[in-house]
Amino acid sequence: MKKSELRKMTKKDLLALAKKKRIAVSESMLKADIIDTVFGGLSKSTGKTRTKARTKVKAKAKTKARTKTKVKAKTRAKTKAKVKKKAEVKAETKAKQAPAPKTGWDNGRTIRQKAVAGKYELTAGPITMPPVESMEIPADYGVTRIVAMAKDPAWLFTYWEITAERFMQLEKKFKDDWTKCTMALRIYDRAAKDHFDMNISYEARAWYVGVTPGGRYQVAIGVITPGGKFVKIAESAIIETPRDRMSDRIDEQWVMPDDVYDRIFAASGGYEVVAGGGSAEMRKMLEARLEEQLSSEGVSSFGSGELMPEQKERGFRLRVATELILYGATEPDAKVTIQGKLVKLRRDGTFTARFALPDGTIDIPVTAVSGDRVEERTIDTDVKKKSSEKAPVIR
Amino acid sequence: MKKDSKGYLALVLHAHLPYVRHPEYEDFLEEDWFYEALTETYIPLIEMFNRFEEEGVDFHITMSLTPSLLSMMADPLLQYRYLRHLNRLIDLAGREIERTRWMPEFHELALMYHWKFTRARQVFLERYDSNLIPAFKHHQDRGNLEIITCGATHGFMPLMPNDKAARAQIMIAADHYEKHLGRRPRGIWLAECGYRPGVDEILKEAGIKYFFTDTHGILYGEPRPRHGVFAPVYCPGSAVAAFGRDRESSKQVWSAKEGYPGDFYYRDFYRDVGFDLDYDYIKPFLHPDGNRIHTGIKYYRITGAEEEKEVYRPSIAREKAADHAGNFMFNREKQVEHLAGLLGTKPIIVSPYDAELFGHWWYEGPDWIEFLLRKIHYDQDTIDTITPSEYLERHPMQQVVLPSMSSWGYKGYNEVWLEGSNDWIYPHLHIMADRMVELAGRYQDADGLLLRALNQAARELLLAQSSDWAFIMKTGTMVEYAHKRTKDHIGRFDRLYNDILASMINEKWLGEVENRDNIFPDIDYRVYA
Repeated sequence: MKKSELRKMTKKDLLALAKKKRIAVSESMLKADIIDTVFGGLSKSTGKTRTKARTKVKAKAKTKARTKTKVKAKTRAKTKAKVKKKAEVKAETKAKQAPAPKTGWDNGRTIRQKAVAGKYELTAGPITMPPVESMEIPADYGVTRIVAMAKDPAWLFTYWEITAERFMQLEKKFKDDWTKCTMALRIYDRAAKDHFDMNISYEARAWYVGVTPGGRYQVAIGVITPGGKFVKIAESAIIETPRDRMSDRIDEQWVMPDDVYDRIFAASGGYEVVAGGGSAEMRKMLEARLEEQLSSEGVSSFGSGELMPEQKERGFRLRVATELILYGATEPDAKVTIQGKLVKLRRDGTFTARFALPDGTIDIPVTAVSGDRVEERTIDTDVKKKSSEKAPVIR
Repeated sequence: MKKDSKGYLALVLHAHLPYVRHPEYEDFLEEDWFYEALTETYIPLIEMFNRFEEEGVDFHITMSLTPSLLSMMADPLLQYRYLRHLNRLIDLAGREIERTRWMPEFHELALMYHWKFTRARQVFLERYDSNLIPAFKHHQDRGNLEIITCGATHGFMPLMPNDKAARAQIMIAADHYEKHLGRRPRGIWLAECGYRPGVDEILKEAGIKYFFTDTHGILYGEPRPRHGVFAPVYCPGSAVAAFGRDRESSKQVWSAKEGYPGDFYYRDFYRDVGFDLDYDYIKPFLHPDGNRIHTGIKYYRITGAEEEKEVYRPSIAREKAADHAGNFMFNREKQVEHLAGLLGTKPIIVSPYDAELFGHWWYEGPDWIEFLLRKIHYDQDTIDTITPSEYLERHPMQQVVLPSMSSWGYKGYNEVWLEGSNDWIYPHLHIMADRMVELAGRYQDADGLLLRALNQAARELLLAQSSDWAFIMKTGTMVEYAHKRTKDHIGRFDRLYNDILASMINEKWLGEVENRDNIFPDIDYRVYA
């Protein structure tokens, strides 16, 4: 539905539509605000829920397959290989370090994102510590339950376990109808005193559900009978989704003019003073800006290339460095210097020194003085190094 | 305090690392997190505090030292291993001094590293006898540093529905703080700034007076906050204060566009001799598995977009840090002046940062803080640095607002710790919490082996609850380890739970687990009752 179509509707119709689509609006809101809220709600509601839920089921089905030991071993090997591959790629990227022009950072990530990843950064290789003790974790706990939590203002996460005994009871109860029953989640909107159902597969163990911000929800899992009746198996506690905007409530004791409040809000959201303008509109703009900041400043999306693609460049590189190893032998009690600097001898009188070798000519006198200080010998070595880089050939 | 200051700056450093300690291995890679943070962040900060004390620089800063971090600082095995780690680094830096003899720019850096590592060893071993906690405590007792606590194992409150388990995170933390720092904590850094209504009630019970939320935690509070994030609010009922993060000062440090740490003259984090030098030469300084790792010796600066990096020049980088500190201070002065007019009262700018990023990742970060605090002390009269306790003492009258559920993670809520890569952990964590409460209710006066098993079950639950594991799973760095740790604690708890109920506790195995997961030696499982 387009925004212009919404504008043509009466406020009453809009409220009805919002209710139908489970979008939180209140009668006290201005029509323009309701339109925006409904429009925003429509564009992110059902379609997204479904895609998201579907991928989720897939993921969870996989998890279940893993409990069979044979499959498990395979999966593990696969993951390992994958991890390895990822690590290799990462090593390359890191060495490559192709940051964005101006600041030296790829634009996709904020500095904090990279920095927090840096906190855990230790190596680019796969870790191959042999386990001293490897624990098996329970696949389930033999407790029929469902738990719901808010992921953010617009999404709930819910997971559940239904024991085999409980399924058997249900099968016994419904007899022939059992195969015609479907599993479903019932989401109660406790604020709006409303609910909606979502069909789920038997394999599913968890689900993300799209809801409205600042609401109170309770999730039940159950079966829907061929007659359309919902039979509850388990029910979560009531949970609240956080608000994603300013509260409508104003504190009587701390009343102030709206424009002053808006300027304080603006300063809080990024120290940009917005002068004048319609209060509600400006606030919305500020809220949008804050939301934008929230979604870009977090610390989550680093490290993994899928989330924030690095700049696409060929990963090829060549780096060459030269070192010089100088070694020799004398009597264990002699004193040896290289370029006048004392060298530590091994117990058998041998010595080794290692130097990074820059371009140019270097004169390296090695002098040994015998333990009785009677004899001194010197060997001079001149080393010349020159390296040059040819223009790359691209085939 | 300045005579005519117009507002306050509250710098908050959140210092935390997950509890990583593996006596079952001779050498364990992830323990390096702690060692690197000691060398690059904690010791430089202590040295800064010491210099301020010697020179009479007045400063007020807040720092969280999480219970898991304090536990690691106090652990003899990790203290010993840190010295071993430092000695290896000093050895490597010594060889680098020789190796770079013909390359003066590198040679100078090798000398710098050698000096820094040697200095760290001197501070750690000789001045503080391997335990840094008294160093921090000293500056707290002097009234310059306010140390705050955090959930016992950095448990993320918004995803911890069992109130008794959430309560245990706080109560254990407060007791642990008292044991190590000699008084009760006044404030807390909730892990990841993760707040949900109700947590403040637990804080009140623990005697904690304030916590922090992200900006929108306050802005979206109920009713509308009169002063935005520039004054704290009291939670209704509990009267615990909540301070909101200022976005402007946070952006100045972290923004991709204008953030300080991206300056071309600062040290590049990724070019490390552990990756750059000849394998045979560097191998003795790697871990036994032979993978190349970050050693901490890094010779290049960020340089720019080019692939070729230029050599790092510490003196120029230091000047940059001073410039950036001056810029930050100037902007705070302007901000405070503007806000003071708007609010009609002295604003407080709350600027929290992860401590380890100063030094470990932003190498010049500690210099920047030092320049900033020095400049604030000597060069201006507009702002005072302050800690939240001091602020509340001076300005006890504040509005009552219930903050909104929020975190400082990506998108501001729980998504980082609850998404496809890590949502599998919650069915386990939640039932473990429920079962721990069940055990505490069932066995009220346990002793002997049963007592030990119950206490260990509590430790396993706490360690599994570290938000770090979910975070690492999401970020894709060192994921295998986060999986292993989570599974180990879930598995150990499950076995303990079943063994306890069946009265079949295996003392030998329990002893091994107690030795490995030895955090909170004084824990009392009844905290879950």
